[in-house]
Amino acid sequence: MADHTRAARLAATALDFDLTSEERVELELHRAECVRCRQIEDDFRTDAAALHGLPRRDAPSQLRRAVGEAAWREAPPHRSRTGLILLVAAILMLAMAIGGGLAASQWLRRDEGAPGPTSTLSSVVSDQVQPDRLTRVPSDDLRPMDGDAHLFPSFIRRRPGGTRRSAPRADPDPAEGLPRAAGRSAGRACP
Amino acid sequence: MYDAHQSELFSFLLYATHNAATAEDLLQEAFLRLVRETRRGRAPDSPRAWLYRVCANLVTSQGRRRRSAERWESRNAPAEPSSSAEHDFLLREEELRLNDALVELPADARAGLLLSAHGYRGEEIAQLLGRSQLATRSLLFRARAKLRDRLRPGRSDDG
Repeated sequence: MADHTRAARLAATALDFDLTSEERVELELHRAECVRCRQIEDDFRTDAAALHGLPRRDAPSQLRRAVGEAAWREAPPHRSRTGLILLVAAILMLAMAIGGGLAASQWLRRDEGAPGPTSTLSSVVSDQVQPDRLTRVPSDDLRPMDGDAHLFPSFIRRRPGGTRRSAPRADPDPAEGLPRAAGRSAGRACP
Repeated sequence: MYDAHQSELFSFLLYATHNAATAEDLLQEAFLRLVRETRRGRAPDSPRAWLYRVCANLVTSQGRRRRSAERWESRNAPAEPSSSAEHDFLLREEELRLNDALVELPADARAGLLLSAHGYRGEEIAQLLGRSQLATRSLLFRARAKLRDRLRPGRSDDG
């Protein structure tokens, strides 16, 4: 059997919660033999009824107006989350439009011959290139075309049987000790 | 919304705070919070329970701050003549005794008892007060025992 404190606790709890079957049996067994705890349970019920019977009071009529005015003063309400998202999206789109416009204008300027970003890039590449590591190209591949023969020294001669384009044969000028272009020597009369 | 719930909420706050002006302030605050929540698109599913929870929280937090002052007011300050509701309330002897006993309880115990008186079950009270069911059972038992002790005939004021 429960003690008085336990019984009083169960009696109070029964007013607000559903007791388990074991708790109900425990309380009933104690109430059957304890007049004092029966009185306590009745007092709890009386107090609960008195609290429940407290009259309802209306709030003062001016409070309704005060609530409405306070709610109105707080308007406009906090910016909604959707509005914030739309604002951020608009800012991003504007930034993208401005950035795209700048990039397009820079591209057009580069096409017109103005130094663009590629010039900077080429200078960087040239700084990185090491001449001793470059692949050596055969000299035959460096022979000029026929129309440009006068621009090259006369010792550059055509290879016999060669099919590649090459400069015409040029005779060295012993008097000057300098090579002469073949085009010029062809028009001069031999002594 | 205001007209549907103002009476029960104001009564709850009036008995919980024992002060008409404070009850008005807290009721206004509760409805303003509801307005804010609704404007943010977070309107509660059950406005009545939501308002009771806000009121209970306001009573508890306000009670912690002004517990000593309220005790002094309940024993020494005269009824506010400007508030007809509280004036009528204080005219009734039985209500006065009950109210005096209530005001001596801790704020959360007061709120729990009044929520019970307003028809909420223990599980709902636990939810409204933000406590576990076990803690709420203990809270309500202590509150009822203390209230009974305060209402006991022939009880001296020093308890």
